Amino acid sequence: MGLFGILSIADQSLAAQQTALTVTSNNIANVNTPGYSRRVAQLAEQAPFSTQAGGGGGVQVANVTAVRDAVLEIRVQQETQTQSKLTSLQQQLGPVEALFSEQGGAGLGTAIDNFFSALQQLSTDPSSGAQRQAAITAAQTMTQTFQQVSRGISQQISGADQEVVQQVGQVNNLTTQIAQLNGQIADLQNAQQDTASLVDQRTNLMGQLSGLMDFNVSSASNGQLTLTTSQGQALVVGTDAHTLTLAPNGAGTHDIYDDGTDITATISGGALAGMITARDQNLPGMNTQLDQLAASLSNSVNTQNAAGFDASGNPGGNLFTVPGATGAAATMSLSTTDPNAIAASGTGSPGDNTNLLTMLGLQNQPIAGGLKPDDAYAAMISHIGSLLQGANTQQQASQTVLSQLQNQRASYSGVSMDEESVHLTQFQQAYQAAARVVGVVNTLTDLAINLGKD
Amino acid sequence: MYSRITTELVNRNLLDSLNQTQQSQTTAMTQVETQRRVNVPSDDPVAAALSSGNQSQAAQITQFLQNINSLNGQLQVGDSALSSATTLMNRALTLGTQGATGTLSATDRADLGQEVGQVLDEMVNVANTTFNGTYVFAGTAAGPAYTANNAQPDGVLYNGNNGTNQVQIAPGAAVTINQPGSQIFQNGAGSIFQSLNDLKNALNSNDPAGAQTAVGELSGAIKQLSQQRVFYGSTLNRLSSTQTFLSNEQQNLTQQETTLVGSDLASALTQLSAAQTARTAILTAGGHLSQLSLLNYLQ
Repeated sequence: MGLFGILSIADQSLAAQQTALTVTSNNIANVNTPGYSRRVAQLAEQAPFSTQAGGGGGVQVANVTAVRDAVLEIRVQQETQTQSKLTSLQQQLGPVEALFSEQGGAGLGTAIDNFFSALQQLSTDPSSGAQRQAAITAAQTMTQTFQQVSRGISQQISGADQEVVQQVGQVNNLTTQIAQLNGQIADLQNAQQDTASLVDQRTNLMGQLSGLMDFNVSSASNGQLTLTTSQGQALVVGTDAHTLTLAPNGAGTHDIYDDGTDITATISGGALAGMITARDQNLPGMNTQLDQLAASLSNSVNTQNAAGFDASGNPGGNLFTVPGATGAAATMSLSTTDPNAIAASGTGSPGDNTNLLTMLGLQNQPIAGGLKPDDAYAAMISHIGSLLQGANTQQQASQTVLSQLQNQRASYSGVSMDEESVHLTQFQQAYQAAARVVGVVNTLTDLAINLGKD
Repeated sequence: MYSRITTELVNRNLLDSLNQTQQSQTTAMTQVETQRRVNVPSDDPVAAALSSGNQSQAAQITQFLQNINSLNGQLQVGDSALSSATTLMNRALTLGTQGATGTLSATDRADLGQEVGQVLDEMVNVANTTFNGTYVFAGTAAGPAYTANNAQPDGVLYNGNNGTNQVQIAPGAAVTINQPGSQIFQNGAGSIFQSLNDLKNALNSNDPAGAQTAVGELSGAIKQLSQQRVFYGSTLNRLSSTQTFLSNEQQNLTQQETTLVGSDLASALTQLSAAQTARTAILTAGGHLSQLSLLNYLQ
């Protein structure tokens, strides 16, 4: 090998170290880029020029690889789905729970207690106009509180529905982008080009999609990914995104369709799953309990009031109007605001309170689905409390797992500044040394050219 | 342990630790502020439901205590009315005894008769005693219990009825709160109005023997009246003992409530200061960590 062979080796080295420096510089630049996987320049020895001893071919950058653990990425996505589902469930149930809090809540339990207390007070002096007025006012307040709680739950349901609509839009946006990237990645891979940055982008988009819904992934040899729902409905196939559509349902909310199939109930992860669980199960369940209490309390009081005589000695009528069992809490109202309509008397004598005493007994009778009114209310507290407590506990557990997985990913694929600083020094020195080799060859060539002169 | 420590990993850990301490700090802070361990149902669903039950029980007890207050007034008015009735009856007895003496002139008897007539009028007023506008001796009817009516053998017309009301004063316990006037003033075992009217008539018609008979009726009516007063006395006693019982119950409930949902202030404060210390430590460590970089040492 001659001097020019050495020069060639030095030249290759300069090029290789420069490429490695570029990779290092790119890593440093992307230290804070979400979803970025660090790149490593793989240096390899070139094939030797000759078979003589000491004959070597120099160095080349064999390839630049992205450090990425596909299994870990999928685990992060799966845990993100669980985490997002629980978080959105918490967000939807939290405001409803607040309605049932003792402090700052709507105070339905207190309103029911106050209604019966006012009747108790009236029983001490059934012909007192002031106490009749107080009882009617307490009944009015109780009615309004039922409406307030019911409205609070219904508003949460329609709020969740609006979010579902928005999030379906985001899902479609993401699947469209993933389908586009699928195409670009396949093209680059065909042309033997570097796909690392596009794969990072796609992984990042899939992470965002995991925040919204759960999906299955399968990969093809051309680098494209196929995404399907848990039930196998296509979301992304090659470069085609199967966008989700929405259709109004009987409950006044929206169902989600994929290629004409209703997938609403099968979404089991991501924020959508949390929204749908709250919207279609938990919150309507609370409303049913509330309606049952409102309807049974109103009807029982009405029945008892009709059994007695009002202040004028006429047979009692209804105190509450409840149009139907469904939506009872939202639609209940006072049938009359006339204080004299309370049928305290059981005999027709205006000062008699026997019918009122029987009505008071309702407070301690299992009239609401086998429960006393107070217990029915307590059951609602314990129901919403347990739902949220469960969500909280699971959310915390899932958060711990997700943090752990994200830390693992950060440890494996993330950029270490110290490491890159070392690389920087390392490649800089190698570059300087290669340049020095060029200088040495230059001197040697000079010597050789001037050999035998003078 | 992680094989590689990267910038993202360090930042993540720092943020996670800060979040965690901030969360326990907030929880402890809320407990200190509200003095309650259970602030929303999800803090402890079972305790929250039990607490709601306690609250409605407490509300019922408060109302029972209020019932007792109202009844106390009502029964005391009734009791003091019967006390006035007793005084009036004793006055009538004195007048009757005087009138039964044979030595009196017809005019003197007529004077006494007029005086008994006034006692009778006064008794009608007593029988029409009201509490908050309700006639306490009219049974469960509205309006004045009695009106003077000479067509009646006992000189009065009862407009009330024989109804009585009961009021709950404790869970499952009710007391009768009134006695109808017919039972007090016109009792078959000794009628107040009948005896007064008989005395008045006997004196007005100058009939000492009749007056003597009426005095006998009066004594019977007085005896009867004192028996009726027992009802008011014993009911008032019962109200007072129930009141004591309910106040104790109320205290028990408050105590239960504190045990159930109250926060242990000492432990909440300890948690708070522990969280603050941890937070300070993490912030200090984080500050030092971010200053450390190989880049500072490379020339």
